[in-house]
Amino acid sequence: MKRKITVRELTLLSLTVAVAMMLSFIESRIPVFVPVPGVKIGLANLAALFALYRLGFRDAALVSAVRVSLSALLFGSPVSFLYSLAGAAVSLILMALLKKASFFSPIGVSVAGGVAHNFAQIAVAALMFDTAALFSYLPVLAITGTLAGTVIGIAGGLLIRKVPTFSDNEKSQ
Amino acid sequence: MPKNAKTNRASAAYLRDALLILSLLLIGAAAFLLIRLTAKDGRYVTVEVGDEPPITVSLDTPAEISLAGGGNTLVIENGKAHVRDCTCPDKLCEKQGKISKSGESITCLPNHVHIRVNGDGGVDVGQ
Ligand SMILES: [Zn+2]
Repeated sequence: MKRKITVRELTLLSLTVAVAMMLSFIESRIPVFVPVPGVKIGLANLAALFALYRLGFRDAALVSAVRVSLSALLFGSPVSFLYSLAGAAVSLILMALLKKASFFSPIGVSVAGGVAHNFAQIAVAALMFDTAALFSYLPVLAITGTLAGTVIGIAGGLLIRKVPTFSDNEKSQ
Repeated sequence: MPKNAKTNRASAAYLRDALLILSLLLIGAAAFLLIRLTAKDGRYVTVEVGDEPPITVSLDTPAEISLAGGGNTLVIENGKAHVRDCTCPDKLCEKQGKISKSGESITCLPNHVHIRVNGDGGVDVGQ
């Protein structure tokens, strides 16, 4: 299934990666109460959500993969790479399924993705560090993940509506 | 699609969003309270540093114990344990605060330190 990528599409894709990197950087500066370096509140999910709705699953996966790899190199560690990867993958797959089911608006999709993101990170960390005690953070993470997911979903929903599609008569800016 | 049908579908989706958000918040809060309220005061902490055999420290006696070759200090006071002067970059272990309830733990991944509160000192693993 080969398709031609237009310049406009490529530009939007690159911009989304750039924004994702910026969000990753910002969240790398925000401490989380969980004692595991690499567990993040999930700001970068905004880029994945936007890409999923406006560019499709494959491009969203690309955005997330590039974002996770680059931010592990730039402001993470090999260990945090694994949590981030697990979090991003689980979150994106769940969001893609929910989007397909068109049961929720982007807000609900983002909330589910945000909570799944945190849970996957904790699960991987608990496995790697062999510490079931980390699971006791799940209730708080469910709450913070839901709140972050709601904010990101509202912002993402606006972006999805406001950023012009490729096919329509977008004015040059 | 008629505009009305579209609006109806959108508001149904928003309603489901709201239900999802509310139930996640409620479940999170309930689970949090359940864990907090059922936790009993512990009497010992088990300290693991890397692959070394775990040591058990009583919470009843105030103490300061240097861990991980001076990487950080475990402080016991007022029946609670916390970590001080850690060399790790983000100090997540210090931000964990004081622990005293059975099952609570402090983890410092960079120094491979794991401290966990146990209900009774009988389960001294290792040696
Ligand atoms: Zn530390």
